[in-house]
Amino acid sequence: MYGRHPVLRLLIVCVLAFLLAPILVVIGVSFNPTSAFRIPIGAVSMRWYARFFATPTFRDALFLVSLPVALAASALATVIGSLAAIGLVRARIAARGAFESVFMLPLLIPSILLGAAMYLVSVSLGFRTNFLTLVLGHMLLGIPYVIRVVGSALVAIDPRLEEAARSLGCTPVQAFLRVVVPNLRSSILSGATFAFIVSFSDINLALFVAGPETTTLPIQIYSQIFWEGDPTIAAASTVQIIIVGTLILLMQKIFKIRVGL
Amino acid sequence: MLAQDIALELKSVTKIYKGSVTVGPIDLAVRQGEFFSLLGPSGCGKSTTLRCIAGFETPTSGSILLGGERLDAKPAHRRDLGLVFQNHALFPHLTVAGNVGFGLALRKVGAGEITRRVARTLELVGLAGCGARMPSQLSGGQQQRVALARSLILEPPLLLLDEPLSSLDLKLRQQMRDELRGLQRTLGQTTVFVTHDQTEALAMSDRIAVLSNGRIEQVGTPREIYGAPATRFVANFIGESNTLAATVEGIRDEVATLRLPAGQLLRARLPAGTTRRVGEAVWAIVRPENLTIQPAENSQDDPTRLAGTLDTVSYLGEDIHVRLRVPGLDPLLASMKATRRAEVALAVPKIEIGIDACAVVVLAR
Repeated sequence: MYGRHPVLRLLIVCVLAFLLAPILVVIGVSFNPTSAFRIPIGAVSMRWYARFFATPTFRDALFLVSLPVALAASALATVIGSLAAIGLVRARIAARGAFESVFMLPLLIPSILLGAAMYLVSVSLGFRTNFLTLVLGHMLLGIPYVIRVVGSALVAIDPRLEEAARSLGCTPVQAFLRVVVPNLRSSILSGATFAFIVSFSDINLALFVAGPETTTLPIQIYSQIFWEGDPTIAAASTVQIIIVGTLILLMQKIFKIRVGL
Repeated sequence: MLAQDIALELKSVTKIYKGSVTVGPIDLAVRQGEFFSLLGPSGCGKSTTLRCIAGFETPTSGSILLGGERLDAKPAHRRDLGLVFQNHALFPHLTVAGNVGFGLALRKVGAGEITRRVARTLELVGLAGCGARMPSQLSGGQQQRVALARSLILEPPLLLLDEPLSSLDLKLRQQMRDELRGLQRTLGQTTVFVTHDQTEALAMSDRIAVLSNGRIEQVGTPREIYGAPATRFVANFIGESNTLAATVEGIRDEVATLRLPAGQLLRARLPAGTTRRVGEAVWAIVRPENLTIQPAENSQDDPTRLAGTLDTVSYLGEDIHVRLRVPGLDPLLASMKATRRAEVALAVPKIEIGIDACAVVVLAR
């Protein structure tokens, strides 16, 4: 109904174009047979993808740093974030609002400042920035997303489900594990996906807390823009887009099965 | 009531919340196999009482006994009571069979046994063969049956129903009402039913406790509650009634003569054992269906017939509802079957109202 109005249709098209155009340009450039930054007309080539996978700095940034860091950071963020969400929603704590604000801080502080702060803390404590600091930093970024997604799902679960379970013989803990947790599963997975994407595409924090041996893919792309600037970085970006896109599609597929629509 | 007949007993149960909401003291005894309703408007304490029995609220004082044993000392999960909610509260991640078998699985009953008993219970509630479906694929009525089956499969000594029919539409509600009652009778299942719907309570219950402001107003069979309300609240909450302020003018042979404010007289048969004094201020309560209407005949001079006029007449198909004006009184409500005779009586504007002395309930004012 609203979407039928021509002006609104035009607006929708403009918004979509604005969102998609840069991504399409990047993908286009990555298939360019020449080293110019332009969308190929006619011939396409995979040479920049070949270059990407042949270059150790790119390959390692993806397979040895970005992917493992994102996996570890999102796993940690999911566990901590889910537990925090349960605590924030269910526990009878006095300063609930204060706790929630603290957990949400990474969303409010510019991540470049957060990165700088973490760097200063690490240095003053005598740590070297390395894989671990990167994982911890990204975990911090992911936690608020997990809390938000899992928390709102938890609030939406009818407390009568647990009461029904208890009337059937469940202790409060059993009722939570057997009735609440299974119904949170898709929210936990979706929170984990968010956390993974946040880590996988972060550059601000990584600039500070990544060590010399832990260059993430976004940092590698960023530094390459200054040095060489051939379409390998477009290929690298496209690889990144494909990974994130596949993940989201996969999750939606799983959710659909779970939700039963 | 013999002690061994009593299934559930509440002794001076109170629940005091911080603030002003207070329930109790509630004293109740529910018989073995009885369908017992807690009826009252929202906020009357019926749900709190049910939640105290279920174990989700702890009474501030008093005790709850089931089969003579203290129930209130046990946590909710060891009370082994059946509980059905208004919104069904089915586990959305489990199939129908998974929901119904939940309690048995928790008790480590073998898989074969669970399958057998789930199938039998689903058949009992009329859902044979639906075990593999998900709750979201069922209609409201079917979900309600699954919720019922989930409780009944454990053969609970007491089944608690918290407004289980309120989420269903009217037709289905009436059908489920009969089904639920039939099932309860067949199984001899002791049941406590919470509702705000007086029709539901009257139609289904063996006995009803009417609650208001956290206290029990009256306990009795539907007939007693409707025909002989113990308080003004009960008279007005259950069905329609006309409440008239009156003074006792005289008593003779257990029939009291009451004088209404504008001087008219009304006769009321007092139940055996009631004591009313001459001169006492009372309420006279009359149900609309106990008013009879005739065209006014000037020749007749019966002081117990009230002269009045028709205000509004509403035809409701089967019934006619009439609002009457009588000098000195609030408008009276009368209802009658929509017969030819009734229509003749209602065709003239000036009428006489007759009230059967046996149908007048007298309460202290």
